[in-house]
Amino acid sequence: MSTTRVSNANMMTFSEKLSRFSWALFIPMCVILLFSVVILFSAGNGSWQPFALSQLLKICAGMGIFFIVAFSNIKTWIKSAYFIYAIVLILVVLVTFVGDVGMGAQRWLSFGGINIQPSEFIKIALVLALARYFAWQNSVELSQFKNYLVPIFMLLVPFALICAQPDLGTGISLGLITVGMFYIVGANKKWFLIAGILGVLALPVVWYGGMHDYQRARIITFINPEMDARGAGYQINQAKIAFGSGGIIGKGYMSGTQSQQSFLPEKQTDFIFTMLGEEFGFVGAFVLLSIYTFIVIMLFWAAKTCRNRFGQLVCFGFMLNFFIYYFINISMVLGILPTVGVPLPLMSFGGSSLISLLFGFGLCQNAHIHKDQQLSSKGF
Amino acid sequence: MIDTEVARTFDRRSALFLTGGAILTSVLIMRMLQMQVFEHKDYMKKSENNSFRIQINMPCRGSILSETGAIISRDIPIYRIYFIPEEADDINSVVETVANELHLRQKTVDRIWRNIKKQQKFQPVLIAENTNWNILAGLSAKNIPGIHIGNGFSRSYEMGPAGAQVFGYVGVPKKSVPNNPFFTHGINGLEKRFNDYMEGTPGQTVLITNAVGRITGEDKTQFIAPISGGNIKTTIRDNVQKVLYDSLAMNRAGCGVVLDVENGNILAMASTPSFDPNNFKTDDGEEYISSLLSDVAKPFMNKTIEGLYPPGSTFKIVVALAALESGAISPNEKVFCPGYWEYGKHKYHCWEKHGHGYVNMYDALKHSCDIYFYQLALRIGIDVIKHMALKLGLNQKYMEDILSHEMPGIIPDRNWKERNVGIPWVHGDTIISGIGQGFILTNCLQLAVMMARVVSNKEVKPRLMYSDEVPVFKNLDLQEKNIKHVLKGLEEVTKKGGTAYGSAINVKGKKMGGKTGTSQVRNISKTERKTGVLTNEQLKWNLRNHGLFVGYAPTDNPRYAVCVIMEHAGGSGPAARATAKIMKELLK
Repeated sequence: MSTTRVSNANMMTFSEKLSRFSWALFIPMCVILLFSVVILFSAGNGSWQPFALSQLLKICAGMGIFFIVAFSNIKTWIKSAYFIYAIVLILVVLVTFVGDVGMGAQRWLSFGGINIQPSEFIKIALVLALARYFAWQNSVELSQFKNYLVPIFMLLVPFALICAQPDLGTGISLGLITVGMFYIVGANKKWFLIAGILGVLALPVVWYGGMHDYQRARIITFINPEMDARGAGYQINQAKIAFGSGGIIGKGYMSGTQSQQSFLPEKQTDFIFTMLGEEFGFVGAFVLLSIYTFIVIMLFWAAKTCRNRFGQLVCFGFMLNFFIYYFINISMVLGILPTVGVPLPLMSFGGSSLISLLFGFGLCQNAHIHKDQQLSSKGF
Repeated sequence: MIDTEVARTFDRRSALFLTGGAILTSVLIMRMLQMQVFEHKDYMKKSENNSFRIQINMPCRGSILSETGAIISRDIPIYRIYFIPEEADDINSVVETVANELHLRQKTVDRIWRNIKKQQKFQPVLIAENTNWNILAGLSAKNIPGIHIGNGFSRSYEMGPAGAQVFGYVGVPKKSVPNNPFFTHGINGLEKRFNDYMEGTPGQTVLITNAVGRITGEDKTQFIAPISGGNIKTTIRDNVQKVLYDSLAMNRAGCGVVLDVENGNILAMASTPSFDPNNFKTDDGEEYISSLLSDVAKPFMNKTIEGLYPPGSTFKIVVALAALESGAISPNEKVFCPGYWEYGKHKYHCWEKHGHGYVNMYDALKHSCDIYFYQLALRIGIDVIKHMALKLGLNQKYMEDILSHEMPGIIPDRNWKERNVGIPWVHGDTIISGIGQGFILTNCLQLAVMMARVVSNKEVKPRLMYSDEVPVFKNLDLQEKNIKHVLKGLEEVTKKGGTAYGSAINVKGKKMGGKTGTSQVRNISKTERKTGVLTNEQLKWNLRNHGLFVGYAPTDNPRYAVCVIMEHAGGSGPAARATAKIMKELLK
């Protein structure tokens, strides 16, 4: 409340920023990143190749982005929020039409040997754009439906493109993030009810008209995984066997029989949690889940204590994104949800997810550092 | 600053997110507990089952060798086509395709279907063995899911039916070996006795499968090479074994043993009717086996040690030697044979109705005069006879630690009869013992041993497993002159007028001596009739006398002793002729 203590955002010194840096958010993030390298070393059968070293380099690059974003002026992000969203959206459009095909979905764009998955970035870009959009609306404006039309449009364009890729996991994540943001800013509860009913009615249309065979197969397999133990059900069955066979303390580092002998597909990416469960058991899985939960609580705390609306919504949106990320991934590998292809945040091998997350964490740190700043939508 | 109304909404509505987050996180933790703690054992089991696919590398089973190292039974490397039903999308079409490709007979296809239905879906079903390479290559090019081609071994029995009961055969154990449906072990004979030594040590190949369960590679660090089993060397002389079997096979049933007197080596040992274990693996194998099992002549029985026969007139050797050793008679003392002899209330018949006239011991052996031996037996008594019979190796087991079911037979005396028959010994019992009838029962091997001991005056013990060591047999301490007297009589048997004159041999001056015998089988026919399994035709055959011959050669320096028994041959002729053939083979 004592605004006198706070200098203007444009005038904050680095040491002032450093003193406001959230170590409680930073340290657990680093612990998970370190852990991911350890696990990827095992996924490479006890070798830095082909995953661990590569991921370490990506982490270094990502940390650079993280620090730049965290210590930058928050106004930069307010100004560029829509621009970033637009750029990422263009990449999503590009990837939909000219991207490389992987696992039956169009997902990657190649830029001089670097593969980029725009669908990972759109989650952060959407949060940024929505936060920017809602930040300066008052309670009256927030109760009017017309003020949600633009955000709905901001969701639907990438949502349609990504579902067409077809990346179901990211599509659902985008939807849930947006719905969550709408709810927290104060949208009328009746609208959710109506949207829910419409969604249920649309289900058959989506099932028969909007889904690929492999997606239908995955959902059928999810309902009855034993039905096709060598085909689509193989992956999830093997994952469950790997995870369950880990027991309380696991089979030991680099001793997971399922993972080490290549029974476990995608063990370095979407199924890395299974590998963790196999080698470190319930203890390892529980510790990781605890750290994730701690990070979510810290993000919520950052949102709650943020005294400007933009920072609050960025933190809250990113919190939603982060939670949905790992919840879908873990539920998927534990057989609670169908296999939809969502990586485990900060753990899975892959640059796009990591960079986008570190960018997000950077934004949240930035919001936390600037939590006492008063920001106007016009005067920046 | 944030609009207070907006801030309130944030605080109010964030409670829902926190509650939802807590519930969802609990769901994850509960699921983790369920899988890793409560259902851990089930998953662990599944993990162990599919972590590796272990393929057993079968070792080459050791061979059974003859005295000279020639092969009797061995493992030969083969290609084996097998089918794992669970890997096929459509079992029907796979079986059909393979049947067409390999030109399988309907019978084979039926057998494959039977196995598919009987076995669990992950267990391999044998399609074919020993298929030719072109067909094999064609089949593997087609890459039919579920069809595999593997290396393996198949037992080849080079001697076929000659001595199959002795050498034995291998088969699938009753309790199947996990991961290894083609595992075999020795079922009987030497294959069973020396199974541990011959079977070798299996190795393993650990295979890795990819995401769809197909084999993609191998964990070379876990590879273990199989260790071949050891060979066993028998005393069997393959050419003699074949001659013995071929001679026996001319008759419906019988058995024979050929001994090397010097070291006790069993040069040949065979029983008929026999079976060819090579046929067991064929598609007609099951029918073949069931036809063998229903054969009343018992093809699976090693009759040389399991079959008990009254020795008949061959026993006269024992009686003659016993009488000479006890001094009860001199070889030249004559006994009158009118064709019968009345003693007490009984009239004992000679096989020669018209009688032999006055006969000394040489004549009595030559013509096999029963009257002479009735009287001789009565004169010396059963105890003296029994003592000599045991000394000459009857009523004893020799193969106990190698072959099973050996029967020692019976050499009776007073105590034996009272204990087993319940009535006292009478003179009549002694009298008929003199011609090897009554309660006396011996097996073929024992009679060959008897012959070997008489000609060598040593306690010859037969052996089936080869050793370079020449065994030192104890002396029997029989008087050489008495042995000479008996052998003189036995030499006469194959001379003109002798009971085996037709079987006389002369290989570069080397001749054969021996003793014929026929034994009555009335007790067998009685029991067979009771069970009612026999047709009249078989009954007739079963009622005929067994024909026996024990022989030795060469007469000047005996080296080989043979006993051949032809079941229900009527007389001793076939047995004597078979012995002659064997001796010719040995002496050539």
